Amino acid sequence: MLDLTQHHLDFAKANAIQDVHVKSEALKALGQARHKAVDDLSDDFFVRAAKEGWSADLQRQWWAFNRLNVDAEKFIVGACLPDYWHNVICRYSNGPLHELLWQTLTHPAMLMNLDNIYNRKGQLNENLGREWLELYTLGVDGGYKQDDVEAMSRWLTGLGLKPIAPLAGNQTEDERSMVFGDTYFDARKHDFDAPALMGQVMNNRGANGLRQLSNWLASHPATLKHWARGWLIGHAGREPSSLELQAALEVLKESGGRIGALQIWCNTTGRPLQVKANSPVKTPLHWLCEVLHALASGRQLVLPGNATGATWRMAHPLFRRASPNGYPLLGQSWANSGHLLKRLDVAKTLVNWQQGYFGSSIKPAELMRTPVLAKWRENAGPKTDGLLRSDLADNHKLQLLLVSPEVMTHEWEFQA
Amino acid sequence: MSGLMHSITRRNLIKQAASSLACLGLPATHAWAVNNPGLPRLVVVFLRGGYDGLSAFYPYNNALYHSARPRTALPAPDQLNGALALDDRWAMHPSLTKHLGPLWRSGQMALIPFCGLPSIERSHFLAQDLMAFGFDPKDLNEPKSGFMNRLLKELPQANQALSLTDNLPLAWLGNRAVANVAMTNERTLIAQNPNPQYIEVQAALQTMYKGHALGQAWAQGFEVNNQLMDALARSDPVDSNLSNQLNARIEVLPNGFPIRAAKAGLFLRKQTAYKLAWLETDGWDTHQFQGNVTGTLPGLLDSLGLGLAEFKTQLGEAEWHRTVVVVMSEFGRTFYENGAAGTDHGWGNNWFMLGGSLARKGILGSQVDITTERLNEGRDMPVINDYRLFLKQLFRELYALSPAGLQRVFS
Repeated sequence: MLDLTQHHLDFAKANAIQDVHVKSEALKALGQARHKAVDDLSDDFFVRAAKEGWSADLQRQWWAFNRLNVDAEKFIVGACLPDYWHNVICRYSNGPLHELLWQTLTHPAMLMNLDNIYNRKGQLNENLGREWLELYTLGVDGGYKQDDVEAMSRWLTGLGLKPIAPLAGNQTEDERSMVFGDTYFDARKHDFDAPALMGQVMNNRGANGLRQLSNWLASHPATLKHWARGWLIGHAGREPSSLELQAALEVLKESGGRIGALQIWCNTTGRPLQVKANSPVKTPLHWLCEVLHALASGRQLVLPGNATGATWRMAHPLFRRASPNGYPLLGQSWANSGHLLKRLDVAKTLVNWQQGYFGSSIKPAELMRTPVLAKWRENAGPKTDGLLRSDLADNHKLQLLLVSPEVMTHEWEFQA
Repeated sequence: MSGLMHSITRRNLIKQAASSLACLGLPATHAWAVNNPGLPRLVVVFLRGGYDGLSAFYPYNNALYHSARPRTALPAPDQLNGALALDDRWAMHPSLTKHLGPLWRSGQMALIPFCGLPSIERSHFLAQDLMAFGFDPKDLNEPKSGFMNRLLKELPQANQALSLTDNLPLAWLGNRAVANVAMTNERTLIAQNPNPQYIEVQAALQTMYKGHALGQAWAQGFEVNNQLMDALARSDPVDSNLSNQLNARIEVLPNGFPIRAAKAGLFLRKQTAYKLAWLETDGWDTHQFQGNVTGTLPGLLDSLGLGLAEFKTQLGEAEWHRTVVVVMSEFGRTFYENGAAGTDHGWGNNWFMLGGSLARKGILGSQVDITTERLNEGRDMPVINDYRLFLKQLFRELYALSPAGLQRVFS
């Protein structure tokens, strides 16, 4: 894992090199180090997926990451993305929500991704303040206004990366400054007069006040509703009914904002149904993880980089989504001709080039008798079943099974 | 963002602005009509992230602009090599002028300043959705459809539309099934046409999805993909010379939009039946160090300009004269730069339009002098040209849509 502060320092040094060629080479080397860190993380993800399939842990962790998305390609985010994944997302994705949000808010990955490292008193940058309210807490219809975006931005002033240069001669430390891991709350850059947000006055100022504000936002009814809805969409690929949303919201409230409780509720009261002709399409990652697991059939994914390549082909690269709201999770977002053809393309490659993923090849007919694929065959509807019994070549049959409605779509019912 | 409630409370204000626009009137002349026989083609290029139109086209004579953007404003064109004065108010950024200057000078380009959503939305996602749907926020719960899909429905003679994107933008949502196909960044053209086995899989797959909601998407996807393979195959039997020329260009073009736009141009040149098309490019959310003459934003503008110029080249003169390209974005950015020499989410923006047979060059729609008092909430360019009215007029003149038809496209 890269040391962020050291990497930041190296980056600043490289950027200061006068010789254009030398500078370019130095920056390129640093970029390669970040890419490797993120590629290794992606590899681990797919090795896990081939083993676990779309397991509850993987699903929840990916969902939380996607919801609190950062882009590995932004500035030097890639240098701390593995830390963000392991120590924020994986560690806190079960909840409680206030802890997940606070850890996210004070992680360098988020602060760099939404430019808060440049946000300082009197020189606001609204990017994180706005998205914190819109995407990560209250939701777009959560009742806040432009004044609140500015207030949030002012509360966030001074929250950035650990300094990489010593203080200049006439500067002194401010004792109100604080360190959170690789994050530094620089009191000298903070606006201690940040106003109330949505009328809510904080007892504390500075970093403690920001923590208080973060907790208040995390427990706001609009935030809980936003997260409950997001969870249901992530789980079922469709908008929840008002009853489902209400039930999920109650679970989140009663559990003190524990996302894990929401997941348990979904898995105990929810049940997958037979897919219909208009069931939501699974997200590319959900589908790929399931397909990798099915095809692996106990084999290890020895060349996980090719799974990452498959996500690029589906315009869904892991950890490289620029938009702060992550990938869309509604099935309709993926129900388009261009994307469907890409899935077929990926399915063809997976079946015909198993060697490139698993280091070995199993005949398609034999593969289809392995447990997961046999189960999929068993659940196939009449049309899919008819094709699987036709005289098509075995590799084509397997490709068709992977992109069949029974595998590509899903249908969930919750006992609301 | 300001939130839905906020935007609704501002609706009356916006209605007033819209009715003022009707009084002021957009130019009576057919400024954007295509003087060419046959049904014109409309290509939308959407810049996701809220592009800073105030850098692309900047009010160089406005003192407030220069004081509001100490690190990002551009010098007047007489002091800046490569910039182009469009009139005594607006100038085009050198990075765009480099590629599009000749089009402006030859009357193949128009600027629509102060353009955008009628309601203030500073959320990328809500603003993009609202723009795609084209309805007032209060109607968001109505059955959703996108304005491009509704336009397609009004053009019975244009039965083909295509989104040249990875996924299908919401503007295409609706009753008419529209295919999408990604224009990739790959630097080589397609090597060969599909083999017979692949065709067999296609047929089987369509059998499997017969009667399924995705059935039509699969069928359209295969059809478009086959067209793409024909059009962009290295050994295209119809005109391999064109393919070879494109191949030579994409080997040297920078990655991203220029390559995709060049491929789209040749594809649409060969597939003339597509009368409505959509391209997009992202990365325009320039919150920090966007630059003025050089930097992030000038780089993006350079890529955009080059892509549009390549699109025109690959499309060929004949098709270019039957085509109108509208470049739009969900909102403009703050008039004042922020603390990181970038700009935050704003409202009004400068859209532009290109085409081989636009009747005249010019700056279209209503304008005002930008003053502190006229800035929305003291920070944004106002919208005085509702994008729906602009597009309605464009659609009327391109396609002779009736008032009722226009009303169905944009209520």
